[in-house]
Amino acid sequence: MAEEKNSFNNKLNDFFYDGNTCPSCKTGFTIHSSNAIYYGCSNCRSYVDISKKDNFKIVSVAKKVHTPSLPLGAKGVFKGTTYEVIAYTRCQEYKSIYGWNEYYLYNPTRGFAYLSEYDGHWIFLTELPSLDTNKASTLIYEGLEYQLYSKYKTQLIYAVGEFDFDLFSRELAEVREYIHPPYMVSYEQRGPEKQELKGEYITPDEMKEAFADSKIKVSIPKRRGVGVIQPFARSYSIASLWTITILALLVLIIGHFVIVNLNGSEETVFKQSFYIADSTKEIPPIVTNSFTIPQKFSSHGNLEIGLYAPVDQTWLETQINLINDETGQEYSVSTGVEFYSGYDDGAWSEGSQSGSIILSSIPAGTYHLNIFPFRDELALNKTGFFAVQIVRNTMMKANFFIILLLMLAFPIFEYWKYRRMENERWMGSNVS
Amino acid sequence: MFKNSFNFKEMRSLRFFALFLALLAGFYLYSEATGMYFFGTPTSKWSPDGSGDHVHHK
Repeated sequence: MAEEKNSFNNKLNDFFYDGNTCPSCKTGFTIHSSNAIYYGCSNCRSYVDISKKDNFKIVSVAKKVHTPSLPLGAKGVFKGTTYEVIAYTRCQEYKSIYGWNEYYLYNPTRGFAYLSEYDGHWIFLTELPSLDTNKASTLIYEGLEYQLYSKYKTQLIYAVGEFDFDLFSRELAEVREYIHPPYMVSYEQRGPEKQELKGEYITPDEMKEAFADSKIKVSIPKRRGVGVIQPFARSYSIASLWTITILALLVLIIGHFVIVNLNGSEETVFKQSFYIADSTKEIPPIVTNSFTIPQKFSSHGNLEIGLYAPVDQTWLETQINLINDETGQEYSVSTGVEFYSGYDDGAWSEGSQSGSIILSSIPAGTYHLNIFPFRDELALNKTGFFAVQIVRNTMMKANFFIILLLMLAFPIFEYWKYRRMENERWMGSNVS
Repeated sequence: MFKNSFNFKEMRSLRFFALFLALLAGFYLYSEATGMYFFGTPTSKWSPDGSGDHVHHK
């Protein structure tokens, strides 16, 4: 019933206001709202007082033309409601070069809504009931915390379409914008008049879709930079990404300590020194006594084979065969040490008298070593002895840090992109 | 950043990343349990059945 009444009133309004002509260029125009008292002619740029139906008066003529992306009469669908563009204004921050475009949308049933566009970033705005912002730096609205982004005075420099107030004779509006991307609350005060608007970010694709069926074609500009309330375009938040990553890290760390507890900490399973007679040119192979690598939680574990030799200006190389006494399985590795020092432009040294290697996943059991040492027979300081030590379940820090790096790489990259976007966003703020 | 922004519905979007994390964590814990060192020194092996890749030294 109410819709029928509105529809009737609208038809009446159209009948009453249609067929108007600009007093300057005689271009016809239609007035949609019965409250309209000013009209900006898009043809001749005249700003006309239409408060008296039979006596339209030209108030001013705009010096510079701004071409709107959404022409008057274009129709777009927002949140299921079809709106018609009935007015356009070019606004500028007072005493600043920053300008943006505002479009007044009208639906006979829903009334007014607005679109704001800056650098290809669109915001769809609807009026809110009065809010008490108390000029604070934050605002809680519908459970979301909005941050004060900017405060400025608005200056109108161009207007076309119908208006129910005199745009150019009024005081400058003081605006405070609070943001929680993709939302905004705009608080505008002009003298005693107040207006609060809630804005929501609209992507260019959403704009094209909204005006897809419009008979009057629109041109949606490309985006530049980061919009005031442009969201970080992901289907998840950075908080959720980090939450899930931290949960996974907790599982990793707890699991690590559980396994260390079950497998036991580092344990030396073999340690022996071997002396070499100076007169022997070739060192004979060495066969060690058997030793046990115990089974813990897991039947397999790593082994760190450490080699020490007091080499000085020489080297010692060994081939070490780890042989399982029960199965005969043999693991063969080569390792060595070397140490040289001297004095050129200053003292220098390279190499070390000790070194170690780690063998992966060696089964528990009883083993002995076959060691084949080699040394530099021509060296002045021949090596007289060397020592071998085998440690079971040595810490594998590299494993942990590799996995940690892989786990954190994506969240860190995403956070970096998020921070970069936020920094760019807040560079445009005049209160941060 | 974290205020009012955690949402369980978003977990659906992150399911593949969660699976990736679970695989990494599982792989790490398996390697930790079995002593599998990612940068372990390569060993040549020999078995009494003749398999292996080096000459046997008695």
